[in-house]
Amino acid sequence: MRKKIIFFNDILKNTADILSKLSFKEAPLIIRDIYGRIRLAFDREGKDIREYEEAIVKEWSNLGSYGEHEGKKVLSRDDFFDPDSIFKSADILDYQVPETGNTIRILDRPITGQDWTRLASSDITRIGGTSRLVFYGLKGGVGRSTAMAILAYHLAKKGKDVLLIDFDLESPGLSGLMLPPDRMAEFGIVDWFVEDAIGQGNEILPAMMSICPLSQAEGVTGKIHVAAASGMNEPAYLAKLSRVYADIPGKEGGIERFPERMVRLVKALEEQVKPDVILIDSRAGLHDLAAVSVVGLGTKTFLFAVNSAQTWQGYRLLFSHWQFYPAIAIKVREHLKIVGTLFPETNQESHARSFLEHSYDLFSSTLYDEIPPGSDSLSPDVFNFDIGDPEAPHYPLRIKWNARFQEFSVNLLSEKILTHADIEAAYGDFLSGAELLIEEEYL
Amino acid sequence: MAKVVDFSGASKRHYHDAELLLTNSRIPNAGHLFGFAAECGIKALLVSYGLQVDKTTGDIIEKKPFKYKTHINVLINNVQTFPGSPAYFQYVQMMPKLMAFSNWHTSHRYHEESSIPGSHNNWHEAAKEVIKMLDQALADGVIV
Repeated sequence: MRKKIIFFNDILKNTADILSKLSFKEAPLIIRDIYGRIRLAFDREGKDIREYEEAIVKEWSNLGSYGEHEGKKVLSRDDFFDPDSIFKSADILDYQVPETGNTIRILDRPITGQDWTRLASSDITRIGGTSRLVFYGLKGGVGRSTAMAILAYHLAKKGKDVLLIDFDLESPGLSGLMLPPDRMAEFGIVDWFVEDAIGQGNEILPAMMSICPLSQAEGVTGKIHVAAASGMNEPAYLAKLSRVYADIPGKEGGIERFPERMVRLVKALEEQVKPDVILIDSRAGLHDLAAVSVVGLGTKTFLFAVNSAQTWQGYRLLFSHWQFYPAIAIKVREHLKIVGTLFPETNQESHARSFLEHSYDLFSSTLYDEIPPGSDSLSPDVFNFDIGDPEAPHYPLRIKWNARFQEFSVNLLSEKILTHADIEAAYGDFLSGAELLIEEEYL
Repeated sequence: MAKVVDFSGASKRHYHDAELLLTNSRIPNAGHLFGFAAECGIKALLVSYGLQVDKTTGDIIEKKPFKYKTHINVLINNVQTFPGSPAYFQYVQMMPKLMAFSNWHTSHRYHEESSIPGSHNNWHEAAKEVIKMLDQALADGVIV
């Protein structure tokens, strides 16, 4: 008989099935290695788990090639020098098997992407009470950076000091949008990462910040600070970029991972500028750099979306990943807000309805709580919203497509070529919604 | 000949014994074993990232002059230049104190006690990093 092939999709479900069949006194930790292969680890001494080994090995054929590997299939404390680094790892998560609702404890060891399920440490969540709004999109070219520039201008006109950080390092553009070439700072974010790796990060911090000329425009009383991806006359961007993601030796021993370094940089910039609001341009797509911004840095995250099948499918890939890990999902969902962008000039009514339906369907089938029949949907413990609730994460802040904002530059604002009325017409809904979210955070 | 070489297992064994010696104040030999523990742990990493081994015995195959089939005080100079992937260097970054072994020497076993450097604490710390690296590599399925 031909051997049944088991694919990655089935591994965790099959593992959960094996565990419920064997029903151990204590639930083992499931370690899924970088190849996706599975081993079980018991927080016990080796001699205490020998009795389990035979039963487990017998069942392991249900994992196909993902269960066939050299070395032990069952690990104990004895297999590790520092067992707590494994058994008490902050990366252990409860994984909910969709088909059965069973929960298993898993330590996933991917090569990249772990930051989509790694929450911010508590000391970054509210440094100085400053709001950090992340601008994220699955795809580029949907007007994220322009929206960020317009919001910065809007807030600065109200006297707020705003710090813009360009973390879209693979596709940097914020400086081009906000700064004339001769106003760029000497160093950029990529410089900080390479200099910091050899202990010189603090040396360049004071020379990383530019002031956007919009800060001097008529009616603007706040300052717009920009931390751009690169410095002025950048000679070696790619050589630096290719070193940015390094983990480095930690000050207290061990290593400091890239996401922790990124958080440290934001803290340092924040301490230097002391802004009222921080706007972060995130990398687009399902990349680690975006994960850190969205999950680890943002107090609010704007999810930019156009009403297309690929947008909704893409967001569903991300949301379903969170859905597997309920502890992460309930934290992340609270700071998401959809932004409907490039809203067309024709068929507006059907477009608006279709967008709202898709967005609601996305959230309600992944991140919203199900309301059991007969219970009260208004209960504060239930994270669920009506389709028409404007405060719901799925309910879009809208940016209307407007040809005047194509090839946007801040000169169009400072020279009043783009007027208050132009801005209001295209961005009015987005600006007032964003402002409300910032105010809510200060409450 | 059977596959007798198990770099990862040997590394942990030497480390464990070194700590036993240390707690019993047998310091020169404890320090000596920390050097062997680190050497074996690094060899386990090198092998998993492509250093060629004899399929029968599991030992490293290398022509002279040896860069990798060597003791820890030489090995540490070649870890950074090993042609490993970025993933290999992720593990190397977990061991920033390796250069502590530059004054370790295998000939210390012949020495009279007072001529052995009093560096056992540094060697201990550096070897600990290697053993912790092996923990992570085991969980990752890189070294089994």
